[in-house]
Amino acid sequence: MDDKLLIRYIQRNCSKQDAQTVLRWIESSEENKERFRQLYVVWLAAESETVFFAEERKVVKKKHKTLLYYIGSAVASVAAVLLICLMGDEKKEISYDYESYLLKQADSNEILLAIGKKEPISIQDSMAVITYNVGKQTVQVNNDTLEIESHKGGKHPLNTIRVPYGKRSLLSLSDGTLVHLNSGASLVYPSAFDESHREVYLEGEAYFEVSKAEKQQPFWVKTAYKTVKVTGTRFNVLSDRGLQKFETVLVSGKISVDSESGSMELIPNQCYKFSNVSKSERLKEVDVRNYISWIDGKLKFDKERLSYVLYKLEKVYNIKITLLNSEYADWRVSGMLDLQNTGEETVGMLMRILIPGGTDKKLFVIEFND
Amino acid sequence: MKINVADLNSDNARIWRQFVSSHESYLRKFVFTCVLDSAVTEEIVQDVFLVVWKQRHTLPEDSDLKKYMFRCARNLCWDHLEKLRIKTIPIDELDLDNIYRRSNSYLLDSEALDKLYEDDLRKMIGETLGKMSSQTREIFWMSREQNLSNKEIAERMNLSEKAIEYHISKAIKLIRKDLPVDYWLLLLLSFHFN
Repeated sequence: MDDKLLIRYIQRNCSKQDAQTVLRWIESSEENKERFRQLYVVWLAAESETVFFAEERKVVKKKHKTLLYYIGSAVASVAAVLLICLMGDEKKEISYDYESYLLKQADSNEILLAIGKKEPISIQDSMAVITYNVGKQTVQVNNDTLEIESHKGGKHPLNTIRVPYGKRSLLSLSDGTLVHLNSGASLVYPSAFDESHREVYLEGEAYFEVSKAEKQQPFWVKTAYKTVKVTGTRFNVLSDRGLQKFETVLVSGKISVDSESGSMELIPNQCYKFSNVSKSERLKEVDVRNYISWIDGKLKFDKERLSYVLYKLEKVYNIKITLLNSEYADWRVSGMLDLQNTGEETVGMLMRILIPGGTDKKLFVIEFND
Repeated sequence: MKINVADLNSDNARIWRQFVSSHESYLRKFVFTCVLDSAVTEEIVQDVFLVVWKQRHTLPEDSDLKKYMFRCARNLCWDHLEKLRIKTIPIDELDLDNIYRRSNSYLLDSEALDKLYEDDLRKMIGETLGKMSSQTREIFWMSREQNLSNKEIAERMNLSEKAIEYHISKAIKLIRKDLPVDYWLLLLLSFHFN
């Protein structure tokens, strides 16, 4: 039996006649059955969900001056946030000084939730599921239930959640909107939305499943760079202060962004990218899985630079990865990683494919940030 | 963050949702490959999750949930295929899908499948793919990832169908060659390398 025919059969890619021939062959002996099984297992095992490969990209690029910009931007971005708040589109907009609500990064390695300006509560688990129940004036944090103070004078208190690197959170807001927060993200939001306005402030990355409000009020996601306006949709937002970039990908529904060239509407499967460094923006069609697989605990990437994938892994696992051979940094990698493995396992898997046949040389070093 | 038995015991609906969404796609793929019927696939996948939900308080804390669900799926697929009673029908009278289903049951009754969802196996396959020529890899990828037929791939790459078959077969042989011997020992029979 020709292997090629067997493989076509396994792919379900052959004629009925050929298929009959193969089946007869399979059933004619235990040995044949075994050979069939082996090939089939190999085929099934090589499913796209975990297998990936790397390619060297011979592109000469100027080294990214990340450090300089990062230091320089800290001051500028605060001013930018206040400016966005003050120059809002809506007439009756309440401007918040969101930056003052952001909790200091250095504080803790635990997920922090602050109600109003009270002391933040520390959540020990690696993942927090937070659900707001406006009727009962409580919020459920994993297995505990906390009380929210009843608001005085019309303004609901702003809460802040900070998810450090290595952790994740799922937030269910008072209107039923779900927010999946990725490692390193912070969200400032009211414990209950006003009738006229739904607005939150994001730093880092989050995936939103916005509920359709009864009165069709739009939902606003503000960040240090851009603001996204939505009505009942699913989308991902990434505001990265370190790399000074903003990205938003629409999965379903409709959103609009305050781009450099005015209000820009996105349709599903479009991605808007903005770089605060070059002030350039781009709108393009993408495979949304490359942007939202993190919600399912996976990282999918398509011909992405290795250095960028490592950057993302650093955030997921809260580690620092140093490539011992910097020439690999610009290699393009494609595939999907299962983030439920440990950081070492995941990085190890990724690195092993760079050197076919394996090597004794160490390619990377991992340091834990705890 | 890996969702384990203790997490499921919290009975938190959101955690359950996360658990389901992180496992359902590979389960669905596998089940469909075995039963070749979308409606049955949905039923079986749901049944697998139902079993886990019902057993969540009795499963040992250190259970490998992925392995457990995969085993469940495998058993349910096997049961379904047995019920179809296609093994007693003469081959000439079977339609194409049933021909495939009949041989799928041979896959399901072997130990070989246990290795399927182990990370080592896939790591190795990933390495092997890295060794291939980019053309072979690209073709294999299109067939496996995008489920394109050999004819479709041939059109896209401007090659003959025979050439595509050659590349896919080359890829599979390379992978098979790279897997360590003990995997095959498990299968209890001698193995021929072509």
